[in-house]
This record gives sequence, structure tokens and C-alpha cells, in this order.
Amino acid sequence: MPSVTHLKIKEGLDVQFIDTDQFKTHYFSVTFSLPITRENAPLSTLLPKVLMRGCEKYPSMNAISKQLDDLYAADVYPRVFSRGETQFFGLAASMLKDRFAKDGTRIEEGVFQLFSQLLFHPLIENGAFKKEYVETEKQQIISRIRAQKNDKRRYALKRCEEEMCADEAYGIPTFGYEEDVAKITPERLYEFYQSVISGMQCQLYFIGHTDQEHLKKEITEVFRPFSPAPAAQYTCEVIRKAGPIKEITDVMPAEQSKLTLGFRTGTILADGNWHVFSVFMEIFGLSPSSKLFMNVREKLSLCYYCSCNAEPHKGIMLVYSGITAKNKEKAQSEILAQLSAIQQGEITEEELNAAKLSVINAYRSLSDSPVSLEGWFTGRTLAGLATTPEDCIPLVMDVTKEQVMDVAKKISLDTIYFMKAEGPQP
Amino acid sequence: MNPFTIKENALLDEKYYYSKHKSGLAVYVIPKKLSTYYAVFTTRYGSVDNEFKTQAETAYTKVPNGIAHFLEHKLFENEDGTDAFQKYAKTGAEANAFTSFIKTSYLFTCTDQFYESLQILLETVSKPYFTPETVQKEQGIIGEEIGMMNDSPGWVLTFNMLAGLYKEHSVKINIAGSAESIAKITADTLYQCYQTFYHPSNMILVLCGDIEPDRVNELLDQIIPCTPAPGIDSLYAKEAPQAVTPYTEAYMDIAKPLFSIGIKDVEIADDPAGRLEKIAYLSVILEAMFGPSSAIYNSLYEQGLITGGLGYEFEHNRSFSFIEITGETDELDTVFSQLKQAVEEIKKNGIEKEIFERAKKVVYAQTIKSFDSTEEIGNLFMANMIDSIDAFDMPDAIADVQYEKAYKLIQDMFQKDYCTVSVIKPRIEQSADTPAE
Repeated sequence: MPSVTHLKIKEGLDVQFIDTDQFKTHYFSVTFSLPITRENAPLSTLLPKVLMRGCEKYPSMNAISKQLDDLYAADVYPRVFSRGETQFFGLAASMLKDRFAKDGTRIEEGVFQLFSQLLFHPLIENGAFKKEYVETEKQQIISRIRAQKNDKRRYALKRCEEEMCADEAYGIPTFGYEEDVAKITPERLYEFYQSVISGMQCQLYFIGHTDQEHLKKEITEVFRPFSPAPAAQYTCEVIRKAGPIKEITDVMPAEQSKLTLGFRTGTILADGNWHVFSVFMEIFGLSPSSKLFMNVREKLSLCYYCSCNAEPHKGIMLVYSGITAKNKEKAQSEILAQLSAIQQGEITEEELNAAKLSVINAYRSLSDSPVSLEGWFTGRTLAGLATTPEDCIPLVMDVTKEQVMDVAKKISLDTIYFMKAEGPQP
Repeated sequence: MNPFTIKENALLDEKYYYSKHKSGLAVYVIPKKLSTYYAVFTTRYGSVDNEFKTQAETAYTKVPNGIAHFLEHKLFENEDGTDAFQKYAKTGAEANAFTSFIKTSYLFTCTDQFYESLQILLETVSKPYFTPETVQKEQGIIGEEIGMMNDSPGWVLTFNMLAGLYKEHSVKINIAGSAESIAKITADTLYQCYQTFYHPSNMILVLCGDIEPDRVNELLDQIIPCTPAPGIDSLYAKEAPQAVTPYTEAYMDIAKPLFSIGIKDVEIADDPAGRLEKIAYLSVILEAMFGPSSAIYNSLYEQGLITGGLGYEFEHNRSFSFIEITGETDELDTVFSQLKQAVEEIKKNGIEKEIFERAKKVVYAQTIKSFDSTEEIGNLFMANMIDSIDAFDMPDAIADVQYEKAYKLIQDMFQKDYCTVSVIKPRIEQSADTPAE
């Protein structure tokens, strides 16, 4: 398992360098972070997209695309995501190593130069971003927000979280609300950009195999104009125990209904025993030998999928299934019965071992994917932890049935969200 | 004795071991020193194979639509009432399976106990067991899977496009079938399909990771039976090049209209080298015409006419071939007319040389990039080998793509009569103008 080396660029700015020669590509990312608010969410979604539309040297999307093609299809993309109540945004890149360039193109160097352009030499007109670019990208985001309902499975998860966390910052959608996106002016976005480059927390990852000193030099050059903010620990409002159960039903014109149950986990990553929770999730619903799969799907034939996922910073777990509307009560009571079975200690030795193997398999697999590795360390850093996947493996081995029962007992049902399908309507 | 032969590719910096097992099974091992292992066991049997006979039979058998996918679900069950997932649970491997048009694949990824998991994979696929009861139980589960797919706009869009493109060919049939068709599936027909298509000579095994080929061979000797090959004759309808209909539309609960333009291609080479060549040409042509650096992509995006960009894809195999171009727009007519104009312009004047060369570079780079994880490598290898194409030959095939020949192919393929358009519109017309909840 590769380890992380921190290369200091300047006060408050490090590169997390994961030195591994197993890939044909290098991965590089620049990610700014700030607490999620109604205003921050759409601004941080829009900014990287507008930066990708044009810069001084490559003033159009087409010019940028052509430059990327010349760098052997280097993939530089804008991104935004949230963890807990923190919003992350920036640019990431995946590029072939120089040795695959048939014509001797220096891909790595070219990508760094492009980052320097995109981040610090944006296209500015009259003291603001180019109006057309801002407006078309706003429309792109609005279209994406609206199109979320196209994917009913994901949309049901989003709706459940929204309802569950209506009064918490976590309930703010990552892309923001449509009306807030619409309000952003090119001037306001430029002001936000200024605040980003003159004092925001920023993390850099480089995953690949390259000369350390050279890497440091190149990145230092790119980030010369940047002033990082002093490191701060982000907060997240964690509700350990659910209040009265909320029940929400939306009616949707579709064939299949979606049942989503939102739980407060009572355990979060920063507690230091998330590996126990991971073992619990495997037993409960993550794997095809889990209780939910074996019972709701295989035994009762109620669904094609019934699974769970969790947000480890906020302490939320969602259980979700696609069912026929009339089976809602049956599915719901079976899901809750399986949770209660674990709380009562109905866990076989076989189930416990299988769950541990699955979690360990997932931890070990991380090192084969740069994005997964980055995701692991981003999450750990946010939780104030420094553990590597490797560190967690012996901890997982030692998990006992009693520990699993304990984390299960802390789980409480918060919200029942039902997307009721009412057949195709003309 | 090592039965494997080795093939290397210096450009990709990869090699593989190949062997034809005495059962007839083709085995490929791609050694990679990574944390993960990937194994995929695939039969040349998919949703398109719904009418067939063996050498010994005189008449063709027609089976219910969706049976290949149904069989995939059922192979996970064992005679003792357990299922394969429970066995994999003991090794920590993550297992799955999928059915597509021309193949059914069973797979796992793991980081430990690879040979134990491989044994489970080989046994699972080699030992069918179904009863009327277990068949019936599966109908409920697959019924929900079909319901889920029927709510998926992208899926419906593509199958509506295929129905607009193909008159008879079974590629137009939904992979999982329908509630009605799967109700007709019995244990007996499942056995018949299994006996025909799951003979080792019709299958390939692709493995990627830090693997010893000899140990693989030992397991094959133990598990894979050697029986005479049935000699399969799968019937695929011959198609005229013309599409069935120029336009299809449907309504679903979506935000903005979605479109899929299909272009049918009936010029399919019998020999794999010819198909490899065509795949290389199609990859380059489509990247040049509709990729992120193309004029039309940029123009549509900059005018704010499309969301997220244009998508393009193609399928080219021994049984069928088509191109699909997809997008999301409020201005269907404007987008179609601009796309049409762009294609006409290219047919008349050719692609700019510079854009053509750049597209070749992009496709070459993407091919190399796809050799970066055990799962990607395994899947890329398998998807090509199932149609007798060697993925290692791809970089050279791309380098060999010639401008003049590409131009000629564009002129031949992009004919109005060969095209169909499938559109899905928001069910409630005003929904695109009201804010999302």
C-alpha cells in the first residue's frame, strides 16, 4: 500500500504525493474547501466550470480541448462534491505518463502549465468573468439540477436526505438551489474567485511516479500567485439520535416505487470506530450475502435491489429499494426487522467473518485507484484522522459481534421517504 | 508442461498468456502486479441469441426474450439451496454478472484468495441447477429489474432507437425481456440454452492480476468437463441498410427532451481483422466528428443548446453494427438541423486534416489509458476477444487509420435512410419551466 508524502509548497500549502509506479497515468488535483452555505454551494459549483471555458492563453472551450488533445487526451475536469457540511471544489486531471507520448510531448509539464492558466490567468472582461461563459454554465447547472429527477433511484436518495436534514446545512444541495444559481452575476463570481485565490484552504494531490524535487518546483511555480488560508477544522452538525419519525410520500409517474429509509447512525468517522460501522453495513445491506439482500430480495422476492450507504461525517445511513407500491409496508417492516435482528445479536460467525473480509477487500482495493486513494485521505483529513487503509485492516480483524451490536443499537430511524409510482400518465 | 503461449506489446508495456484448454475453453492471463485481481468468465451468448440450433438438431428453437439474462440470474444458485454469493463471502471476493447483446459474463474482483475465488467462479458457471420453484421465485426479482429499467430514460431512449433502426434483428429486444416473455421461461428451456451456449468451446476466461498461469490450468483440469462441442448455429436476421422509421417519440417523467440518433451499418466483415479495422476507423471518425474538440460539439455547447455535451458510442461485432449519438436539449429541431448540416459539410469537404490527426492521437491515448486497472484491462480484453479481436492489436490499428479511407467510410455510412431518431419528451410539458422541487 503506497504511503503519502507531504511536500511543502509554501506556508499552508502542501502537495500530498503518493509515489506509485503501477499506473500508466498521473493523477493531479487542486481542491479548495469551505463550509457549505446556500450562497457557497452554487458559487463553488459554477466557478470551476467557468474556469474551464477559457483563459488568457486558451480563450475558448475549443482551444482548451485542443490543447488537452495535444497532451495525449489529458483529462482535466471541473468538480464539486461535499463531505459532511464541507464543500470541495476545483480541478482534477488524469494524464498519460510522458513515456507514452510518441512525439516526445512533455505531458506532465503541459498539464501544469494549463493548470496555471486555468486557475490564475482566467479570461477577464471589464473586471469580471466573460458574461456569455457565466450565463451558459449557469444554464448547464440549472439543467443538471432539474435533470436529477430523470434518475429515480438517485433522486429518491436525494429527496430523503433533503427532507431528513431540512433544517441543517447538510440539507443544502451540493449544486445549490436553482434560484440561487440564477442570481449569480459575472461580477459576483469574480469576487468569489478573488476570495478563493487570496485566502482559501486548498489541498493538492499528485499520485504517480515522478521526480519529487522537480514536481515540487513545478507546483511551486503554478501556485506562486496563490495565498492559502491557515488550516481550520471544519465543523459538521451531528445529530446522534433521531426525533419523531418523519414520513414523506411523493407521487411520481413511473413504473417502480422507491422506498428510502433515512437513519441517524449515532457513530461518525471522527469517533475512531468507523471500521466497526463498516462491518455492520456489510452484514446489514452492502453485500449480496447481507441480510437485506438475502431476505428482502432472495427470500421475499420483493425487489431487485435493497442496499444501504452511509455518510460518515454527518452520521447518516440510507436504506433504499425499488419495489412495487403495494409491497411498501412489507418491505419496510422486513428492513426494520433485519436491523433489529442485528441489534439483538443475531449475527452468525460466518456473517461476521464474511463482512470483515469484504471490508478488508475494499480497503486493499483502494490502492489500485488514484481517485479512491484521494477520497480516503480527504475523508480522513476532514475527520482529523491520519489512518491509512492498511492501518485499519488489523482493527477490522478484531471487530467482535458485541461491537457490531453496539453500533447497531445506536442507529435510529429518522425519515421514511416513499416515492410512489403511479403508472404512466398520458 | 506449460500450455501457455506469450504475446507481448512493447508500446502498451503489457503481455498476456494464452492457452486453449483441452475442453475447448480459451484462457487469457494478463499479469499485473497490483493489489487487485480480476476474473471474468464469458459465454458468447446474449440477448440476441433467441433462435438457434446445434449441429445435431434439424430445426431451430425459438426461446422467450430475456432468457440469457434470466439464466445469468439462475446460475448463481446451487443444488444445496445456497447461492454463489455465500461462497464468495468466505473468500472476500466481490462477485457480479451481467448480460449484454452478445455475451453473458460472470466476474469477481478480490485482493486475496484468488485461486479459491476462481474455483467458485468456475464451479458456479459449470454447474447449473434450476427447478420450477426457483425459476418462479426469480420472476418476481427480474420483474422488478425490468420495472426499474423501464423507468430509466437513457435505457428506453436507446431501445426505442434500436426499434426504429432494426426490422427483425433481435438486437432491438430489451435485454431482460418483458414481464410477459419471462413468464414463459421454464427450467427445461433454461437447461436447453445452457447446454447449447455454455459449452467451454463457446466461452472465454480472462484473468488479470499477479497470477500464475499454471495454477489456473490445474483448476481448469479439475473443474471444466471435456465433452464434444455442440456446434452452435445462432440465427440473426439479415437487415437491409435502411432504418425502419425516421423518428420515434415517447414521453417520460424527465426534465428536458433527450435524443438518440441511430445509424445502422450492415457492412460487417466476416473475419476479425476486418472488424478490428472498422472499430479503429469508427473510433477515430466519431471522435473527429462529434468529440469535445469537434466544431459541432463546441458550437452546440456555446450556443447553450445542449446540456453536458454530445455523447457518442458504437457497437460493432459479428452480429450487428450501429452508431448512437445522444444529447439533451430544449431545441430539438435546431440541434438536429445543425447536426445534419455539420455532417453534410464533412461529407462534402472531408474532415480537417488537423482535426483528423488529433482524433487519432486522442483515441490512441485513450486506448493506453484503459490498460490501467485489473478490471478495466480484463473487461477490455474480454469484450474484444469475445468477438475474436485481440485488444493488443488496437494501438496499431488506430495508427493505421488512413484519411482517404476514413472519408470514404463517412460518405458511405452517414446516409439519411440509414438513420433513425428517438426522442423522449417530458410527460408534463410545462415541467421544464418550473423549478425542481
